[in-house]
Amino acid sequence: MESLSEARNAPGGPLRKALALIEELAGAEGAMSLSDLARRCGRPKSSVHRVLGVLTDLNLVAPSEGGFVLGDHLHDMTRHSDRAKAERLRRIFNPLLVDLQNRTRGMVALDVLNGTQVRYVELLYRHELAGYVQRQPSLRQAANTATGRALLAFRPDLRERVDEVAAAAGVRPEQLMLDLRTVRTRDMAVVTEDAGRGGCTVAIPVRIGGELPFLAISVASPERLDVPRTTIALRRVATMAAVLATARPTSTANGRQVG
Amino acid sequence: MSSEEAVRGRPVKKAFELVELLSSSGAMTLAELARASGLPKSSLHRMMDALTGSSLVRRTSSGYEIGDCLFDLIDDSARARVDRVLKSTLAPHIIDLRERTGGVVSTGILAGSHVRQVDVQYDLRHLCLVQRVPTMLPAHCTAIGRALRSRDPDAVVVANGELYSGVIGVAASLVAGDHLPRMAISVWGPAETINVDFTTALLKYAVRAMRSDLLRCARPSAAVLDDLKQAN
Repeated sequence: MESLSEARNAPGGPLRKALALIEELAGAEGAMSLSDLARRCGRPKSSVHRVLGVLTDLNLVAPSEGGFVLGDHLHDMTRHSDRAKAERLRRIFNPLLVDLQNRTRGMVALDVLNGTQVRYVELLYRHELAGYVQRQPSLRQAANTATGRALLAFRPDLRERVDEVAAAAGVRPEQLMLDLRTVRTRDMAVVTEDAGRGGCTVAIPVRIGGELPFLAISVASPERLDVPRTTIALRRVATMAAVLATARPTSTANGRQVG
Repeated sequence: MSSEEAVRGRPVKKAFELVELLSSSGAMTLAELARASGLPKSSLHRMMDALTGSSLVRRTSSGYEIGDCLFDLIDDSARARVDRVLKSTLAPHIIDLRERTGGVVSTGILAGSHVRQVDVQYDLRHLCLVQRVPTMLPAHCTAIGRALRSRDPDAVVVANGELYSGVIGVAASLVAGDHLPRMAISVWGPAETINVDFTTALLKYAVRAMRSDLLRCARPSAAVLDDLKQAN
C-alpha cells in the first residue's frame, strides 16, 4: 500500500486531474468557464485554476471568450500519427477515390486505425446510398470492419494487441488471428454485413514506399457486390495512390504559381 | 507563483514533455527516454506508469509508444463530430455538383484573412491544377472567400482569374445568418470549362438541398447548428 507522502508525490494524481480537464474541454460544444469546469470535475475552483494555468503554459488549453478551449498543441502532438499523415494524403488521393466510386457505385472510404477502432478520413457515396450510410454506426471496431482487418493484419504489434482488439469487437482472439492470416495471404479483406441482401465491404491496404500500410481503401454496398471486379478496381487504385503519394514532392516543387 | 504551486505543476509538464518526445520519435526504450528527457530512471519509471495508466502512453515489447488517449480526445472533440456530420451528409451533394458542372468542388471555412479548404473533390483531369493550389487561400480574391464574407446568405459570388489566371470560381455560402456559422462551397476550374450561369443555378439548388439535409440529419438540428457555430 502506498504511504500518504508517496501518493502526493506520485505524478499520476495531477496528471489524471489534468487529463480530466482536457477531456471535459474536448467534449464541450464551446468554451467552458472556470466554474463550469470546476462543477463538471467536482473539484474546487482554486485547484482547477491551478491546473488550467499549467495546461495553458503548455498550450494544451487556451483561454477564449467565455472561458477555456482546447489549445493547438494537442493537435500538434498527434501530427506524426497515421491519422495526420492520412489527412495530408486524402486530398491527393481524392480523384482516385472519385474514379473508384464511379466504377463501383458503392460507398468508398479511406480509413485509418485509431486504437481498436477505424475512422474514415474520406467518404464518397451517392444519394441512393444515403440511407445505408446513415445506418452505419459512427464507432466501428476495427476487427468487425474490412478496412480494420486489412490494416490489423499487417500491424507489427498485432500479437501484443490482439486480445484488446478482439475484446473490443466481441470476437475470439484465436478466430481473429486466423481470419487475419487469410487477409495477409489474399492481401485483401472482405466482410459480409447483411448476408440476406448480399451486402459486403471489400478493403485493400495501401502501401506507400515500402512502409507498412496505415491506410486502407474500401468499397461497400448494401446490395450484392461483384467482389472480383471490385477487388481489381481497388488494387488499381491502391497502386496508383502509392505512386501519387511518392511522386508528390516533385510535382509540387514544379508547381507554378500564377497571379 | 509560490514554490509549492511550481512544484505542483511540474509533474504535468514533465509528463507532457515525455508524451511529446514519444510523439516525435515513435517508440522509445526507457534508456532512450531517460537520455532524451534528462530524468533519472527511477522517477521516469514512475512517470511512465502514470502515463500508461491514463493511456497517454502504451507499453510495447521493447519500450513505450504514444497511446490512444490523445487521438480519442481529438476524435471525440466537438469539432471532429461536426466535421464527421458535415462530411457524411454533404458527400452525395458534392459528387452531384462535381459531375454536373465538371469543375472542382471545395468546401471551406474562414481562418482569419484566409479560407481553409476543408474538402476538395475533383477528377483526374484536374490533378495538376489542384496540386498547384494550396489548402489555405486568401479570402479577398477568391469566390469562396467572398461568399464566406458576404452579408447576403443567398448570394452566389464569381471570381474570374483573380488569384490564378485562367481559373474561374463560383461560390455560395452554405450556412449563414446571425446565429449560424460560415461555411461555403465553391465550384472552380479552368475558365473555358466552367459555364457560369449553369453553375450558379446548380449551386443555388445544391445549397438549398444541403441545408435541408443538414437540418434533417440523424441528430437534433439545434445541436448540429450549435456545433457548426462553435466549430467556426
